[in-house]
Amino acid sequence: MAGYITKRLVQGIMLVFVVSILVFAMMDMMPGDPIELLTDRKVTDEVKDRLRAQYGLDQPPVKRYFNWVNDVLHGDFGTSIRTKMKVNTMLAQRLPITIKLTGTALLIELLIAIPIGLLAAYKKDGFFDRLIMSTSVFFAALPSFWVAVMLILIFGVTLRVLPLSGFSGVKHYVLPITAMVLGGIATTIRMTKTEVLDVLREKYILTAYAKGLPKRKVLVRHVLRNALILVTIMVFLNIPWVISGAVIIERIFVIPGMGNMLTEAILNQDFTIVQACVLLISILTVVCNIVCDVITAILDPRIRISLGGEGR
Amino acid sequence: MSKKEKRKLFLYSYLKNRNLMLGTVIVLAVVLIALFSDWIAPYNFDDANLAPKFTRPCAEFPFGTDEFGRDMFSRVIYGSRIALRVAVLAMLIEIVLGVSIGLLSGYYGGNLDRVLSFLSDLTWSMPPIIMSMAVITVLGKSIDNVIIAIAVVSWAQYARVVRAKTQSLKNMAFVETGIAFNEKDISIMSFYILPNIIPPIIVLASLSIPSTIMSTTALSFLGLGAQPPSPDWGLALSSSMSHIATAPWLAIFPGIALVLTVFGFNLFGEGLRDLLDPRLKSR
Amino acid sequence: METVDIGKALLQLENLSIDYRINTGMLSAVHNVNLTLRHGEIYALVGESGCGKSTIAHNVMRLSIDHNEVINGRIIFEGQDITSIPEPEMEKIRGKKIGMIFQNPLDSLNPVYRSGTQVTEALMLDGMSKKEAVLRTIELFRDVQIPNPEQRIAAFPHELSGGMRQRVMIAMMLARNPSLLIADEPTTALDVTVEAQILRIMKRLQQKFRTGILLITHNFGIVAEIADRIGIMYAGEIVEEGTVFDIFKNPVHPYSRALLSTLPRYHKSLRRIAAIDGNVPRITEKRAECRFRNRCPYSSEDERCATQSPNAVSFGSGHIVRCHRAEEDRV
Repeated sequence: MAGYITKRLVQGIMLVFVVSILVFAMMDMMPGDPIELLTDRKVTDEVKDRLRAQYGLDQPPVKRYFNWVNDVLHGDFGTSIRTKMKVNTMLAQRLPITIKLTGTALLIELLIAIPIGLLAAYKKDGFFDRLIMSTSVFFAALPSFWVAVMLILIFGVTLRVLPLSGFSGVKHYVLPITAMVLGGIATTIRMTKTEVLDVLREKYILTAYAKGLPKRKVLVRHVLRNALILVTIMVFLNIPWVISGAVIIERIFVIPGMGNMLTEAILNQDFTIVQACVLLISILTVVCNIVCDVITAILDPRIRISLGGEGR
Repeated sequence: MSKKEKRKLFLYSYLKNRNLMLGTVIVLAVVLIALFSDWIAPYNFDDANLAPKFTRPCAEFPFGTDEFGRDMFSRVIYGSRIALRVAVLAMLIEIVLGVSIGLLSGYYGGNLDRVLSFLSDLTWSMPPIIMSMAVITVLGKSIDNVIIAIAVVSWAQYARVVRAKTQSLKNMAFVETGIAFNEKDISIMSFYILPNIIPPIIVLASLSIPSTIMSTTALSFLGLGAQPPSPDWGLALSSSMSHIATAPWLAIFPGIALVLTVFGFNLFGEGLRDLLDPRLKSR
Repeated sequence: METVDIGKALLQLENLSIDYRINTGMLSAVHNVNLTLRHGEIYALVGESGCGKSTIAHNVMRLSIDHNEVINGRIIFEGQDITSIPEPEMEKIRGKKIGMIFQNPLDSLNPVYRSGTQVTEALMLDGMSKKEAVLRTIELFRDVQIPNPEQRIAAFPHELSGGMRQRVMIAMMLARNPSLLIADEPTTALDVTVEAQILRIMKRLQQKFRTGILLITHNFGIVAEIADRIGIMYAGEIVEEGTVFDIFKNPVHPYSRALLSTLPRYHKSLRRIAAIDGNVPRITEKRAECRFRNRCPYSSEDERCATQSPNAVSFGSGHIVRCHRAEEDRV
């Protein structure tokens, strides 16, 4: 078990490493000298050279890469070219907001989707099931940004119920989170239903009934326990996607989160920020994947044992 | 069953599947609109000042006009062309990349496989929108770059399927005969393996078009893709936001067009998958 | 365990018909089956795949995955009609009065729970404390000859061999002392030596506890080993029934004769009944006819085979045959 975790960690680090190189290289390849972009013609070359040295831009690329990695490992993501603030400071302000937004959205989505999926699977082909299935196909086609715009239209403009932007009160949460939840809920419901159905079809469920276990106990102790495994996967693998969704939602609702910062940075060609954000998100994705694999291994003894750990 | 009977059965099941038929109708409609936009649209998408700006939908301008007095109806119609062109081009690039890498990976195995698999895991596990944003940063904001960006981050889905299929096919007897006859690797891959991976590729392709359309419109929405005066639906939606209170139709119609298109392709793709490979069906 | 009257009917199936709802209509899986199984008797239900024996096995306790069966006729257990009793009452019977073991023990045991836990789960339904249940489980494991039971109860199903898993299943299903055990192809997935051991365990059950066993199989070898009576099924109907001795010595129905003639001389278990031309039909339309006639070498000689369902003809001492031509051949 410990060996497995180590192996995954090593793989993860390699992945992040490669991504960091790619990210750095890409930004580096950018045509145009950022210093030229920042200064106007009147600035002398001496000043420009000094600026370059200040930003460490006069060194060979490989050295610059290692400087950057070194900085990152010390928690320093550099300085924004545009705002001249430390990226760390900006992240510290914006990251919690994004986390609040995505965390709440994910939680609500799961709390709604999983029970619905369960019910649909258990009462398969019933009215409820068919209703859910047909509406979910429809919902899956709704892009989250369109949903957001429509919500704004209905609730913000026409009904004047909820605020359209900003993020300082509970009222501000409602629309963005609704948009995010609606975007992903259809898929989650279907995945839950499929997984639960798979478990229900297993022979050991028949055995459980044959033993004389009442329906409720069978459901909880056998069906749920086994479906839990895929549900875990769903949760953790969903996280990077939810973050992506947040990028768009933050833009629409003018929420000062990390996603918005990233978009702005790309539009303004503020590479330091882009580097930092992409790197962070990659690390997050890798971590989620690893955690997911590890938890699955813990929950499913078959995997645990095939990994060579003790099953006890 | 003879080939003719198989085809008849296929056609029959196709026509009987209501979802699939609905999806096909929508897809065909969108494709036709995209192809014949020049004939269908009453105006050019960038013809300005045809009417006072922010005209409400009426007989002459069914979808109203925008802040430049352009006809929204025409703009939405031309938008379909962009959406389809982008999705299809991206898909083609992904297929070419994904299939070749998957083939090489599955066929040769060994270190080549390890490297290529690492590469495909890399691109596959990262959220595509974020990664395409990174690529756009480098390449610049344009709709063509969006095509490249999406393709670059999404080819791995094809590579995985092709790799798995290639590995299993490679062990089958009929491929071994080819190897025994000393046929060149390339011809083995082209004649034995390739024809057998086409069905799952088709299924995957039709299933991935809707998400490609959504991703590319999302990128345009953020301003990273299509640039004004393009009638791209995503761009139209984002520019409609500043006038949402006064001219809601600017947001409603492009949005509906987008939703319908994605919905249609979804139905089509899933219907096709159920037909061609019922084992994959989500019950 | 209460003393049982050996020879009293434990399970009776009266005119049992089970139809499945399928896409294109109804499938007749079981048709007019009459069967009596007595306490302490091992009754083997034999036939090719698809003949309906498994369907009967699962529906005695109403265990079904898709719930699209329509049941006609009666299932009587220990004198009580259990065909349509409400679910909570059926729950009380399952495991406690009737136990069932399945074909593939790996699929039939939950992979995430230890084998001991799955047995104690059953025991605790009767009110045992966890501690008592664990002790009893160890005893049960010993009864079914699982070595090192104290350690084995902590093993997960996939850590055990096929034979061990099947023993765990048996232990689990016998934990609450049911009077009837239904065994659906219990040894099909196991190899021969293990199979012999399992059969021995089942025989001991019969002798020690007077458990009635409904044994579903397509393997005449194990029938010969432990069964008392056989029912031969074809396309949902019992075409011949009798003691093992009678049937092996004097099979009357053309199908039985064909089946038994495919057995090799030496006492080797077969995995498959070999080479009778054709397949068991899926009956979607109930007609008055003999369902075997398409594969029967004699059916062309007798027009009744196509127009009437054969009646049961008795050959004495419980030997019954359903065949139009049997009447003439009767001694």
